[in-house]
Amino acid sequence: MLELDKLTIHKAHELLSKKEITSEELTKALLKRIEEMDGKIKAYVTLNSEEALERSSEIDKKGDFTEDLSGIPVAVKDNICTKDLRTTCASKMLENFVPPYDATVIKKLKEKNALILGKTNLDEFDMGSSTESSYFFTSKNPWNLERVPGGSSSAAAVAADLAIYSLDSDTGGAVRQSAAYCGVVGLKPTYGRVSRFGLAGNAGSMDTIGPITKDVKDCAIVLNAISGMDLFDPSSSDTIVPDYLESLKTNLQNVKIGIPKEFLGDAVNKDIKNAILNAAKTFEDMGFICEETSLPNVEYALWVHYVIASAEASSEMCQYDGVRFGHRAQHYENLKDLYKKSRGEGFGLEVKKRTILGTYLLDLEGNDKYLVKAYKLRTLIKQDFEKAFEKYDFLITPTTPTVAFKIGEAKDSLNVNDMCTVPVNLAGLPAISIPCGFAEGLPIGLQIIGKAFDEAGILQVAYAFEQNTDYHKKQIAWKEA
Amino acid sequence: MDKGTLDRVADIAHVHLESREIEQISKDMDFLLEYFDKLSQVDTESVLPTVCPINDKNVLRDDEVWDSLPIDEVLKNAPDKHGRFFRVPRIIEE
Repeated sequence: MLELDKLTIHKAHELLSKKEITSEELTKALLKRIEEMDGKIKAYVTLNSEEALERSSEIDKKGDFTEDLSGIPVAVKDNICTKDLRTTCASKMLENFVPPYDATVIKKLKEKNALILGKTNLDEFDMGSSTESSYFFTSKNPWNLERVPGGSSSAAAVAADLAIYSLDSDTGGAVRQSAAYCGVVGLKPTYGRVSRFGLAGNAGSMDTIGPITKDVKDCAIVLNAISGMDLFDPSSSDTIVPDYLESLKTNLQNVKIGIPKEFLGDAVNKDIKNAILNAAKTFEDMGFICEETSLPNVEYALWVHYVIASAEASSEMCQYDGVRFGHRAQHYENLKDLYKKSRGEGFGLEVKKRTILGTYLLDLEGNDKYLVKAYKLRTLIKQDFEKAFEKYDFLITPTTPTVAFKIGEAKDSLNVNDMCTVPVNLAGLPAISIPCGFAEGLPIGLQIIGKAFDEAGILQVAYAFEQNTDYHKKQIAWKEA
Repeated sequence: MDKGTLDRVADIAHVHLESREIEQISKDMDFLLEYFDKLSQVDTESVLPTVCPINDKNVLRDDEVWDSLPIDEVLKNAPDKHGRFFRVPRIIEE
């Protein structure tokens, strides 16, 4: 029997176009799956069942499935604004916030007749790598319920067939890291490729929105839908958007891949190292050239990222003041006290810590010593990439140094699990994570990094890898944790 | 970070902290700043800072009037309001 919840976007689109299934059947199948499984995974903070069903039947009635995403349900990370649908950032501060507008990416998806199925969990205001700082609950990794799903539950939702695909945000690696931990595909676009308007930002110079999907083809389809310049986001780019799906047909030749040695050092688990070297072997068998290279300054990346992210976050957090929207304390003495108490009650510990650290870094005392230093080191890291890309078309690394860690075992603030992903955010480059192996029964992610605005290139390389391997086809063996 | 500095910065950040949070945050700050100090030794004398990684140019648009969000919809999220306005405590002494 055809299991509708397991479909990819391209397969669902094919069946919808041929009228072999309806959008309503597809939506109902996913809602049933959510009802059965989400008690275990806890991927969704809010469901949009009624509206999704209503929209699906309208779309069926019109019967127009020319758009690739038409009638297909999507899960959206709960820091992306959805009109009339609660958007919490997993914070008490926004527990009851219902946006009066759609983020640009949501507007674009709705124009393609996509259905918003619900909102997925994250660390409070996206500050973390495990969802453990969510105000609501910790989400689980579907491959092993004792493990974290990454910094959002969007990938867990896709891996557990609770959504056909999802939209996620990536400031230090959430899209790629959670995709790697859950064995699916996640793409972080170049900074500026996709509009950030309507994303409850975390670090303005590093935030991006990207798709999480079951395969590379789906990733290209979603990127086609959400890319492009947006007047509401001055940092969005007017660089031409190619047809990413069409570009997958390109026959790759004379590809040169660099493997930065800094991401295969002692901090990286042996099984992961082997999986990446095996991936390199697969590429060599396809006729690509793979060579070791070096990005000497990435050793500072975790520190630089934490400093910049905290400084920028403290400024983003200013908008939560208990006046225009969000939580307001009941007892206060004056306006300043209202701000302080509302923020004191509305924010969790990690958000308070980063807000205070960020304020210190923006203040005279911390500014020159730490923040300016971090922005200078960011230049060196960016230059390392530029130099590597003079010689290589792509770089490959592990997405994470270990497989998904156990719930409760998150390390200190400077999370070493982000070591392979944060340098890419600092340099603003595009990168994709695809499945490339397993260790301890958990998926391993291969990160492919490209030149700025070469999303087409990384998709092509990822697609070629996928065609020659079957890691993405492995199914979860469900058992109780 | 000593308590005086933490109190001062938390006040600038407009964040009220409970005493157990002060202890935790102060400990975490010590760890972070100590770590940061080690790396501040790296020589970056001749390096320019990178604030925006890509597309670092000024964006201008025509000075046109756009529709704003409907006021009644925006006010739905306000914790307190009065007619068409957000309401806050009195800020000018009587």
